[in-house]
Amino acid sequence: MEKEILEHGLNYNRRKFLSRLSLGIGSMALGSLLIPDLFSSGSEETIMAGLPHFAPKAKRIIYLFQNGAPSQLDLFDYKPKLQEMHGQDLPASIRMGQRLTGMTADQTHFPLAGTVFKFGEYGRARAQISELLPYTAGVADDLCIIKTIWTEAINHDPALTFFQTGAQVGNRPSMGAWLSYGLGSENKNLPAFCVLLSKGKGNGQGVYSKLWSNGFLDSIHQGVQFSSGENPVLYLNNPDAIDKADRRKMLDKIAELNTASYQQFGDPEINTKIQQYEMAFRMQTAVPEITDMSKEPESIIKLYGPDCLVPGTYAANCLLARKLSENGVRFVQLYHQGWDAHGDLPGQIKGQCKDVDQASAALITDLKQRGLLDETLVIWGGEFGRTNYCQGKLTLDNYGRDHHPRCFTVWMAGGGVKPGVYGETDEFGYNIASNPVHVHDFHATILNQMGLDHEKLTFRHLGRRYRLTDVAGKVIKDLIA
Amino acid sequence: MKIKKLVAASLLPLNILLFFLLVFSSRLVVPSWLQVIGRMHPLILHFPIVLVLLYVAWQLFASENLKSHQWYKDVTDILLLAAALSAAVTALMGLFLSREPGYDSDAIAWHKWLGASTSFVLYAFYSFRLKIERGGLFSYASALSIAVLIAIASHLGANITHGENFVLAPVTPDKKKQVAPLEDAVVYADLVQPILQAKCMGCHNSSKAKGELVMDTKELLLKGGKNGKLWDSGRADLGLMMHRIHLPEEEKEHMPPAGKPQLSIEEMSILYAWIKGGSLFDKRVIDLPEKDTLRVLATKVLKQSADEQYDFAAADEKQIQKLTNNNRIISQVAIGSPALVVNFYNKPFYDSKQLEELKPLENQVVELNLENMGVKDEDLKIISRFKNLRKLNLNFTAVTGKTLGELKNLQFLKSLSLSGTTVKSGDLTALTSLPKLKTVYLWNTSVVSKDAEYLASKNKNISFQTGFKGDTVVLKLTPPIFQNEQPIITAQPLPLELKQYVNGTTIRYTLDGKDPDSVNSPVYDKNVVLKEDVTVRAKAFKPGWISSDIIQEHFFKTTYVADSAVLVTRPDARYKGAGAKTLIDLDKSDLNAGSGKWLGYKDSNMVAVMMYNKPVEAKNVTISLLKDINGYIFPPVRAEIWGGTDEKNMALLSRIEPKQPEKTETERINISVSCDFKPTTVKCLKIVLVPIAKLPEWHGGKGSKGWIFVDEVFVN
Repeated sequence: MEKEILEHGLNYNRRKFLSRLSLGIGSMALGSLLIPDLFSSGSEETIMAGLPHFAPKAKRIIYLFQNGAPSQLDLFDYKPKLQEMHGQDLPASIRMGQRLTGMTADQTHFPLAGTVFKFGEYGRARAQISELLPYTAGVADDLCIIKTIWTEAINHDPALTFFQTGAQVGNRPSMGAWLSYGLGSENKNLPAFCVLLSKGKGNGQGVYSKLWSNGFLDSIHQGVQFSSGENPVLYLNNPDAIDKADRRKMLDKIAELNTASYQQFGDPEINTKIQQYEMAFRMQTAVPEITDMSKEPESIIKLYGPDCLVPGTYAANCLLARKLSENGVRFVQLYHQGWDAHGDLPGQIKGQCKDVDQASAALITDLKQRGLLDETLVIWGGEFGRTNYCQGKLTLDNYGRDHHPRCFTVWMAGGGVKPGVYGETDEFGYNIASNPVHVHDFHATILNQMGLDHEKLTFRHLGRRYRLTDVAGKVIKDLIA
Repeated sequence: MKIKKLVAASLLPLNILLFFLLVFSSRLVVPSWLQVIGRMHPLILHFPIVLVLLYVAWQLFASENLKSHQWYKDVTDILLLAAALSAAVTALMGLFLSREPGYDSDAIAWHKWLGASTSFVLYAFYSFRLKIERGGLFSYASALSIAVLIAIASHLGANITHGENFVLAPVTPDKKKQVAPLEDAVVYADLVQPILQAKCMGCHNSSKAKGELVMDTKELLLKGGKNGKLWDSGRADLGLMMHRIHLPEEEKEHMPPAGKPQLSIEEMSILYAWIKGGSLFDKRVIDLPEKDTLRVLATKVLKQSADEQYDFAAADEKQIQKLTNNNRIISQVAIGSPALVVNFYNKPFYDSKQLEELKPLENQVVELNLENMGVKDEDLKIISRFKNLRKLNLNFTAVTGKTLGELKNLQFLKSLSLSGTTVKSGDLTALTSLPKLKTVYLWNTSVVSKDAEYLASKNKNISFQTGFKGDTVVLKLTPPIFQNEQPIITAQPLPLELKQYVNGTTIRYTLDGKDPDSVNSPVYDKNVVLKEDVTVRAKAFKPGWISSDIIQEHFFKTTYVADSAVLVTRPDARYKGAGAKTLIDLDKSDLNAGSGKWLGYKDSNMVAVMMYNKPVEAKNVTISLLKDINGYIFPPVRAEIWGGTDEKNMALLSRIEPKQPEKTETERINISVSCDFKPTTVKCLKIVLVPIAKLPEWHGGKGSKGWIFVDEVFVN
């Protein structure tokens, strides 16, 4: 420690100052040659302002992440061809040697597995929706169903990380952190980015805090994970014998000390800490009101289903998500685990759908009846899709499906997206036939709805600027109302 | 010196020639060899600039001491003379150049006259240098003014060559015209002109006019250049302009010339479609047919749907900051937009004064979110002053609807949210006169869909949304939840803790293993206590709901908790819990085998010894186990209980062979093995459990060893 203090002192002696000055000016000149707009004050400054680049369609996002990858072939992408050819091998002309996961790489056959579930056509767009999702089918007219999302990763962790951060390696800021950085918080009494977790009974995959990381952005943009118990935010109450005024006094004193240490060391994380303490103080008032479900009218309980009162369930998280969003939280990220049905898919998916169907649809109806759906973008989907062929033993009514990144279904609602069905897959549901939407395109479109130009929302780190969409992505205008 | 004199003598005729040519410049016809000289104007023009500046600096910054030297004066003379000569030559060359086509305009005239004047002034300066250079204020002022003159003249010249604001353009913020919204866009002004501006008008503008073509105005564009009109929609290639645009880039005639920014395919298509369509100037995009090529292209280029255009000025930024606080957030709709959005949070902090304070922003606020705030009827009067309001959220406020008429001033209001308020349908008729109103949200109010239909019939543009009503929906209740920390009854009676989150439910329960029903089974309340080993079954009921599934939980009774325990055989390294303590810590595990609260055995029997400090009279030992057939976890095939006063003197008290499963069960459950024996006084108990050695034929892992998992041992 002593060494560090000494070094810190040396940073400010005259010799160092002068040598830095010459080096500084030189490197600045060089820098301006390498980074063309180093000195252009105007444009970048305005981008930093925490304001949308243009008038936004959506102000907030609720992302219902179906972790583990739901089977698009049993929910949204109906392929009668697979039922016709049930048990026959996937033609090589369709697979075209594309890669497999380690789990099916040793399989000698890839028998096609038609869904055992019935499909109906719903809404003006005649969207095909499985019998497993009756409530979702009921709000079909509000859904923008994209059947042709595709991703580059084939395993859960990289795929999930890719969807959340725009990169497969986990050191980038999450989408919520980018939005917090780009747009700031609407309600200063709550974090701009909240994370809610729930678990279904199906085969699950983990979620890790790196998925809601701030990456290289300031740590105030990090997602705040709510606990799944009765107290979503722990330690919010003052301990016995400490009242609000005492707490205030204590925080003021700590802030003084922190400010002093900031002046000494100049570490921006110290400032973040001060801000976080202040927000926590305000959260003491704001959070109990939001997490109190006892005042919700009975029609809400019936809308979301009675599970919505049981803490830690997906339905409860949907209801909480609405309340957080309604109170100005920019990005509420839900994860529901248990969709990774490598075996016994028909059995597992039933339970998963029962968990999420009613509450997901309820969220849309609820936002709508409050006049909030227009300004809230709801997204539902997993990290990739599942294969049209069976993993493991295929019987007439049971099968498993492996990971399939080449096409899968995600739906969005509200937030200025155009209801309808977008994109077509081939008759095997294996490749995209028309209108592909890459994850980067998907991100670009979402940012566009939030009033952000994905090419301008940048952060300079390690000598280059980073974007959520990396160096790719285009706004899919046909998805926009 | 001779040269100096010669040069000085040439200055006068040069300047006279210059003056003469200047006056008659409009009649000047420049022969081609002189054109070559004229075109060297840009080559020479930097000499007079530098020389003049050197001369001025030499004058201004030299010390008095230096000025007394003769050589200083010589240098001064030479500098001034060279400046005057080069200025005259440059001006002459410029004059020749200005006669080339594409160079007549106001900008040229100013540059021409100022450039020539520089030459004249420098000549005069040289002639009267002895008087001027005597030092003092006059001398300095004169030197400076000549510098200023040449600076202006050369700046104007640079503007002609490079275009205006050439130097600072890279750092000047882009003041590009805002892309017009599709609805208002005019084909020429918003689609075609921006392309011409970006790619053609660098040369074809009024100050340069290459090929005598000027594109600045509609008339000039129609007139065309020296090669005639730009387009002819009768011809296959649509005439000159499209022809030259479509030529290969290597061709000399290709436009824009090689090396200049080229047209993109999209831009070419727009120009092509516009000319083909008759090159209309005032046509609006939305008046074009839906499938028209130009219309399709336009929708690509222009903004998809219009961002609302606001005609009011932005509010003072400082004012906005002053009025923003933690509970009243004011933000711009977007960068550069004058419109503001105001959100209120934290109910306890709200009062109508907070609305009043927004008065300075009453023109700019377009969205006001007061959800959950204690907004009262009289506050609507304040709200009605925000005359540009588009969206107003009054959900769950104290508004009763009586004063909704106040909102009639809100001529732009599009969306009004009144969900969760006490508004009556009668009061809503006041809203039907609002011209722009589209949606009124009335969920969770007394307004029913029939009222909404009636209201909508008064103004067909407004939709009154009553939302989801749950009264006809019948759902199944979720089961109650056991909330006791441990299902273990010690010497004290254990209060049964059951919870059902839905308000107004009744929980009924049984202790005899039967299904609870809505008539005979006792109703649960907080006073129910459990004293003996028992299985509790419970079910929730509520009128208007389907009663819940039954849940059950076994509560274990333990009278004598051992003081210590020892494991004689070792559990599997992966499932060793907290050692022997695991069996007597009264901390039951959940069904997760990896919770760290289970002891797992596969390769050996479990042999555990439990010790008491004082003798106890035992008659039953109950062992709590996990059963997970898919996970190879079976009940033990044999359980033995030994007891005695110490480790060496123990007798077999009980031996049982628990029932083994006969087929696959998918469920993972908690089971128990209960061993009764005649009451015996013991200080020491030994428990032996034997795992299944070979899994049965029907099991996926047939033949391999099975597991046993134990978490607690209860002694009564």
